[in-house]
Amino acid sequence: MSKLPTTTDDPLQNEVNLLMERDPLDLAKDPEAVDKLILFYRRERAKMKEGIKPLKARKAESGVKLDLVALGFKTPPTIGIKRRV
Amino acid sequence: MQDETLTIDPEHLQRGSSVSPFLPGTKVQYAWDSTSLGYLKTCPRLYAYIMIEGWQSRGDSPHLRFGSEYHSALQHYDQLMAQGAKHADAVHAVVVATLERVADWNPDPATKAGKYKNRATLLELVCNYLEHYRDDHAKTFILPDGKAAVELSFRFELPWGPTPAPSMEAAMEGNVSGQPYMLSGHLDRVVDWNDSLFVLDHKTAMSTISDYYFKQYDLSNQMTLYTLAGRIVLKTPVRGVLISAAQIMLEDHNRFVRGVTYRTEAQLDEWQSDLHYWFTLAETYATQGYWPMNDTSCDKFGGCKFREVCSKAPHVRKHYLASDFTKLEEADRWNPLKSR
Repeated sequence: MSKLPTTTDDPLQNEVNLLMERDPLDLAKDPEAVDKLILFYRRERAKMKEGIKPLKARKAESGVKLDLVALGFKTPPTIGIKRRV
Repeated sequence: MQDETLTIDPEHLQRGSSVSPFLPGTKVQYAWDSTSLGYLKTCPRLYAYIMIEGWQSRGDSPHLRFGSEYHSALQHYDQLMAQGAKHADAVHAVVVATLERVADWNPDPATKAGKYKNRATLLELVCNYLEHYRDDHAKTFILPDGKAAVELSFRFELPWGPTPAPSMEAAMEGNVSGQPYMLSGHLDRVVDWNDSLFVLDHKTAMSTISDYYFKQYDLSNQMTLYTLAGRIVLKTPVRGVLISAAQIMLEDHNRFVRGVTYRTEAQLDEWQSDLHYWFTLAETYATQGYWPMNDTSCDKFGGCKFREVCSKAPHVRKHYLASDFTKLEEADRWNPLKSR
């Protein structure tokens, strides 16, 4: 399963992160854990009505980004295949 | 033509049988579903590799598994609700059952398919769908016997069949009874939507769901058969298929959009007339033991999985098939008569 950030200031999120690490069969036998999972997805979905991006968007944006200007580039280099002429 | 075909009894709602869809001792298929018919229409060679020879890609396709699990989860919910369960209890039961079913499923997250279609995205999509359509405007149709029209396996005979006893060998095996052609399949749910009846079918997508996306179903073998079957099973004028599409989003909220594809009586009649020609072609291929390649289909739908095999010289293809695919036992092959 894809992993969410392990520690945040959100208790439900932290609990769900741990749940997602568990064996699915074990998780299925734990009614409280299943309810927490459902509650988490419901809460994330509710953010849509408020125009707030879900947690997974923050996760996607949290990757390490290089400061290219600090590395000596005047402008960020273009990545891609040069057109053949 | 429609009236001739629609003389069907409740036996159409079948479960559990898995006899061969081929006439005994032949490769003539008499029982068809939209999948096998789709293979034949796309490319006879593709049809032969899958339906006649039983080749299947090695490994589990994340797309197929994800779609199948998504369908199962939503059907489970519909069944529980039809039995009078409360929404919260039904969602809980669905999540538990889904976790149990997918415990052994670990698609490779390094691939695009695995990134979009895995256990976590499945659970999220199912929960999101059930929340999004909690007060669904599409109401499940209640059959005359009081049962909810969910998870309907159908099977019905057409008023004509394959040419009997294509060979002496087949005749010896008893194929002289004039077995009619059969159409079979599975309807997710039949719903009353805006005062009309529709078959509801679930789809998942990784790309944007637009008007263009829904247009692809206006000429869809699957949707035409579903509409026809809906009319036969329910004996009511089902107008078409309500496609309930879900777009899996990795960095945003999953999207749910529905679109309708309609079929008129004349379109259904034409489709059935065309079946005569398709089935005759299939019979010809089967009796001659040769299924030609349709090389205009190889790049459709993201590319045929047998493209690499077909691109090789004919005499070496069997080696490529054996190395990249698994040959299934007859009992494990795709069978339109196998109910879900």
